[in-house]
Amino acid sequence: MKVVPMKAERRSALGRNQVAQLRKEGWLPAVVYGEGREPVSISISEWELEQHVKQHHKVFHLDIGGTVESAFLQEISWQATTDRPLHADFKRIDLTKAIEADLEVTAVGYPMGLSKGGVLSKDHMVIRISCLPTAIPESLEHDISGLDLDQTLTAGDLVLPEGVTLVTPAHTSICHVAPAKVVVEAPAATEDAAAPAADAKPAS
Amino acid sequence: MLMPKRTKWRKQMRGRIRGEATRGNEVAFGEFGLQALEPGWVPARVIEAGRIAISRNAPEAKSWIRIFPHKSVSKKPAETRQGTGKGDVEFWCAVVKPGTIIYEVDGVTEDVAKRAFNRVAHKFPVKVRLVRRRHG
Repeated sequence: MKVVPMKAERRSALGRNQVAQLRKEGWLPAVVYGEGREPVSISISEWELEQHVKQHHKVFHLDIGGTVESAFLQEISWQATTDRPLHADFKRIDLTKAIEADLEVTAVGYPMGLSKGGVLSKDHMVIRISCLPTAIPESLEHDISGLDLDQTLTAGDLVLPEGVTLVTPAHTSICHVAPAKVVVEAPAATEDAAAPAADAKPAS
Repeated sequence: MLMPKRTKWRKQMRGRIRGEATRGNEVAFGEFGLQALEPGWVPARVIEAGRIAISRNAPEAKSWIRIFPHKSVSKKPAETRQGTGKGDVEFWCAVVKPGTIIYEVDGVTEDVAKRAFNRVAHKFPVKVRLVRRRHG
């Protein structure tokens, strides 16, 4: 994963109203913590962060008022209905030391079990890996076209790039093809039949 | 239709719906979700109608219902004089806040999910929108 530079400023606006004002001006409140040092409140450009998120960038050289720190984008809080970021968490890292990170598995192909009446069930599509910050893969694709009925793809089956080790237990199921359960819908109820259902009460 | 198996009290006060959903506001199981944009009550029969609409318009999809009708709504019969206590329970509904994910689907293309959720949206008493799962 590429290490990208990002400008940040120390933030004195800490309260709810001050932070809301900051957001109106296009800035995003964020925090940098970790490595045994004091957490620092910063503000970054909301637009810039969204561009990095689109390109799946996670490792940054944060330029906080002249001092450059390496940081890993740990978490972003999103506003649920507008999809705007609310806050970002950066964790200080040493680029020469391995860190743990989440990696999403992308399933490619049409499992053969689906054509036999199966249903693909995605169990844990995110795995935990350990590697150098610069070696974190941007994505991990795995071909599941060979997955038959009642077969499971486990974390141990995934082919990881060199230098990346799996932290998630190897027996963890990533996805499996299960036989489809056929649900027979009851015939449409008539009004008379539906009436008692409306009055139905749970036992108190 | 969905309804609680047992409750401590049969009848409830109406309450107010304030703020936005802080839980159940992310697509957690499938690839696409239907998100409420307004606060409101969704009756159990509407949840069921929506489920049927999804299963008819996207039969190959795996679907999840993310809300449950915990709230009982009582009503007095028509042309009844005031008094004599609170009415009987008429229906059960789920209280949704803006941001709540109502349904999720997986195993279908965006077009199919959009078509199925569009049918559902027409039945709903609140404004909704389609949202995708947030990756990474």
